[in-house]
Amino acid sequence: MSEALLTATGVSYVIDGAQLVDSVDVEVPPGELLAVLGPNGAGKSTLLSLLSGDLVPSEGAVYYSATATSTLGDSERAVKRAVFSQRAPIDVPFTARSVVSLGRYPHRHDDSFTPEEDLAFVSSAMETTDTSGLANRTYSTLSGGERTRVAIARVLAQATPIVLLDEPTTALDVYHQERILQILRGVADEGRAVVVVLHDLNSAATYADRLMVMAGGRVLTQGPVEEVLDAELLTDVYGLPMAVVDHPLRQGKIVLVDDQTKP
Amino acid sequence: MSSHTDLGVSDPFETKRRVTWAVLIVLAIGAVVLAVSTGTVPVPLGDVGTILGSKLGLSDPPGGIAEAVVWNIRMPRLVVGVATGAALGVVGAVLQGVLRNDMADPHLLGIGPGAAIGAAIGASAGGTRGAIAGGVFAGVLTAFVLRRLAAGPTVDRTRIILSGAALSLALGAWVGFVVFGADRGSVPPLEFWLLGSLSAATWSTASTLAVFVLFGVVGMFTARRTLDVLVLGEREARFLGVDTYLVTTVLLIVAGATVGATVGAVGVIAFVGLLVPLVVRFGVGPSYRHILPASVVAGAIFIVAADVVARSVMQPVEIPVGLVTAAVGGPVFLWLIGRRTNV
Repeated sequence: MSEALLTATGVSYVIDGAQLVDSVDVEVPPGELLAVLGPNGAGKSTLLSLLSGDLVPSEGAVYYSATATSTLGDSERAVKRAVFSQRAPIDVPFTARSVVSLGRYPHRHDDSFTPEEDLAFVSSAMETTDTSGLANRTYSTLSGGERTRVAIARVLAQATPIVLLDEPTTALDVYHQERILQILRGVADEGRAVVVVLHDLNSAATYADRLMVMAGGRVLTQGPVEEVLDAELLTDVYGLPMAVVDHPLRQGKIVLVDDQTKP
Repeated sequence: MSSHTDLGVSDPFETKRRVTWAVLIVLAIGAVVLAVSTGTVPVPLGDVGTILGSKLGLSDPPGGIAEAVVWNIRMPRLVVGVATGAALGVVGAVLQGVLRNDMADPHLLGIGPGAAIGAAIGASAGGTRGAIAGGVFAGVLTAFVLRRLAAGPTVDRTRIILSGAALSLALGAWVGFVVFGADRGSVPPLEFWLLGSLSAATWSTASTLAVFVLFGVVGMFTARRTLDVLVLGEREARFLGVDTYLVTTVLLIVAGATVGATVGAVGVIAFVGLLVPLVVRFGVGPSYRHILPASVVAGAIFIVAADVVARSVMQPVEIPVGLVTAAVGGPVFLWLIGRRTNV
């Protein structure tokens, strides 16, 4: 294996005769933020579940560093990768700080962490996500944006080299979308491997190092942002005419949808 | 990992928890005092002290009927009550945690009635200890059936409650078949099994039960942090490294064994496992680190106090303790459910 923290080779997932993911290869080195894009039903969430070890691939294998995930138990996986899931329940009676503290659960048998260090991980994760002020609030009473940030703080407190996130910005306003992507950018810059499923092409273009575009369970293309942001390809994938233009305020590209109902 | 309060981080439940524990300790002392001093033979508290002191070699044995009543009847009965209440309280909390459902209760889910079948068969073969052994065996078996009914890698919260309710009614009927089919002299009557009673408690029952409950409760305590993680949902718990299938199965089996032992000793006592964790959560907060120990004490108080009522409310007739727990527990449960905004 290479030096990538996360590697998938020829990963496929078939259930009830439906091929949800079709021979996907991916490599994420330390420090990289990979954004997975594609229309609904493209297989993005399924791919993330396969990368997390929550689903077992029908074919192919996933590796954390050089270790095949199939050889790891639940608790061993939990110290190597953390997962943000869009399907997490919200009726949680704990305070925000307690929820973030549960991110330390995988390390409970590891004597190399003292309680003070565990607490330091929790506090720093809450600072990073601007949730320190919510510490004593009950999780179930938080707003959607607050809950997302607390859940991301829990993922960060888990302190794993690999971080996987399924649509962390869905249902958030523009400000919070940007904040969360800035946080994830920072997490990648610490030397972790971050894979995030996104719907917003422009935030992906702004913060990711590489983009992966999926459709019908296959990877259509993956590569550096400027290569993948191709008007023709995106038009094809989403079935909508799109244009890729220079960003008016800074370096980089943005994607525009050409609304055909207007003259 | 030690608690955050140890590290100077504030916890919004801390003050409430102190008050709750103060109340629990006062109630526990009150329940114990009532349990040893009230009954058809009134024994002043000072005499109780002398009798218990003599057992520790601190004073001369006073002898007489008071000593026999306190030491041979009320003390074993108290120990059985404490063990039963502690077991039902903790098992209720654990079941509500692993099944993520506030309606989870060992008896409503069928574990109690299932255990009672085994206990009744065990009683006809080997007396009280046979009943406890049979209860443990059948309790584990019922827990296993329940696990299979709610099978699959994840627990279906609704299905397990519905399956358990059906199981409970069906198995309750089978207790009747066993009791009526057995020799009347060797097996306690149906009302003992289905409504519960502490009246048959002896030191032999108390010591056997206490060992099972101690192992069961200590075992369940080791899962307290895992139970906290399970509050986040099964999928999240797996992401945090919990083998949810294994944990659910093991905890159900330990719960089955622990409840089975209490059923063998005192029959099915309803509402304790359901109510205690709900009440306790109001007082100590949502973390199992606090819920489990408080459930031990609150469960013990509930049973011991209910038993005092059961044996004194219609003197000289003693009514089944399950009547008292259900009569008190039902309305309190409804009130608690009504107070909650998001059931």
